[in-house]
Amino acid sequence: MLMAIVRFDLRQHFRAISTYIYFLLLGAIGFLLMVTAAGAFQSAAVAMGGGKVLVNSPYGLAEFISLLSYFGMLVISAITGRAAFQDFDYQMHSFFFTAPISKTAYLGGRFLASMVILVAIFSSIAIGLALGTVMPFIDKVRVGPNHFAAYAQPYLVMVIPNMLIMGALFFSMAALSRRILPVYMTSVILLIGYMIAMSISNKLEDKFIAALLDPFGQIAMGRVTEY
Amino acid sequence: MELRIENLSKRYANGVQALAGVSLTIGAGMFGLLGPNGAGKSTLMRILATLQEADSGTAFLDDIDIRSDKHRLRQVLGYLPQEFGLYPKVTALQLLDLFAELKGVANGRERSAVVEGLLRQTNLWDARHQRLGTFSGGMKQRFGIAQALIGDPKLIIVDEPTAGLDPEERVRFHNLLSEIGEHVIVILSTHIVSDVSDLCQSMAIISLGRLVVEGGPLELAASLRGKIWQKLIARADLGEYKAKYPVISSRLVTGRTLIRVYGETAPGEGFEMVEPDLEDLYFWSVTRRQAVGSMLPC
Repeated sequence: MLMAIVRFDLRQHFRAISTYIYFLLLGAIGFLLMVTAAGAFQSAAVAMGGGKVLVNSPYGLAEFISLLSYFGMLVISAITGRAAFQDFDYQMHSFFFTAPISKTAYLGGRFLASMVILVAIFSSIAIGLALGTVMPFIDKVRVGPNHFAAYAQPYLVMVIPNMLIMGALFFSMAALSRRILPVYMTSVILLIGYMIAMSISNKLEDKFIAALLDPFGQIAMGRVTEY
Repeated sequence: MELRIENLSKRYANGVQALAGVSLTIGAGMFGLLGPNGAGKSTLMRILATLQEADSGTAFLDDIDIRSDKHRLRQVLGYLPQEFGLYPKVTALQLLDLFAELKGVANGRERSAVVEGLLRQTNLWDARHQRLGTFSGGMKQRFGIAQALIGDPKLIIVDEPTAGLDPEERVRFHNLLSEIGEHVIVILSTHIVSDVSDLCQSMAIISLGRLVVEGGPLELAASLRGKIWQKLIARADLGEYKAKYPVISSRLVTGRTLIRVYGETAPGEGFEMVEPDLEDLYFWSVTRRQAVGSMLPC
């Protein structure tokens, strides 16, 4: 039952143009970020790790990937919010609610499918970054050899856990309220709020508290990797 | 196969008493539930379809307690809701396949046979690769029936299925409904009298949350024999007649008004006795119920 819904939803996701737009958009930003950091443009610069580490070092990649995945939060809200909301939107819910399926199969299937598609979409960040490192017009001095693990680890440690937590939040909001607008608004407010909180908490004396307060764990990562 | 409803009541939070102690026993075959909009039909249908909770009363399909054993009921239920939509970008074949899988037709080959059979039965096979967003109202309703028939349900509930269909589509839909086996219970809720007189062997009329009459359509109509009178009057006189006689219906005929009046004996000059039909019964019982309902609180 659960897998029936996962298969159906995945097929719909792969047929939707928006899936590919999200994929290309995140990939393009990743690519631009990498070539800029690697000195492709004289006038623009992205300083990372104080400019002392290679742009595709594990540290550099973790920074880039987690930074971009925050913007991906809007995509998380769109995908998971829609997943829970679509049956109310299309007035399809009566069919599912009168079918002999459990809540777990129905909601779990929807959620699982949105997680799978989100991982697929977010993988474009790594692909874009990796493409950026092999461009001929960048400053080769700032780029080291590429390692697959350095691209994969940020996903396992940061991106996917964040995706699960944020996705669960948006999904349950949409399922309980049967509305989509509050979900989108929450994601935007969270994103802006996070930006503000980041700049404030950077000034906090106690880095430990700041690291705990950070819902996405980037400050925690900075603290673990500093010095 | 028997559906037994006893004393089912439902009051909404806004104080509307949608159902007030409805008791019904429904056997196999097509059962028509007739009533004006807002009579409580949909509430009753939704309770039987496990979508809504009743406040009190019981409902059993054979030994399945509908109110507590929802999962078991859903395994034998086919439901066509009053208002529904379909994923616009999915094809008929894909969506019906999903529904079949959810209804427990797990085997892939068996499922494609079931889906093909239903799409052919509902005359949608040629449109199977068409996106549901492009379907007309009639096609959508037929798809809804296909969906309700998956997995040989024992209880089929169709809620106002012909509202908004053009006459040709309605006939086609009636034919489709009449093909459903006689060994299952089909409950058809509608406010269109001819839906019931065309299709149903037994029926009930519900108004303001209460059951008004139940029985066979022909016998019920015949019970009014000798009590229905009609007269052609000027349009302007309608108000006067309504005040004076128990007018149960009026319609225009060549610019004049044809009224039908209920009366044990001839109500007055110019009235002629007519053979009652189901429509007379319907209007008679609904107006009577509303007259009672306005005097007594439910």
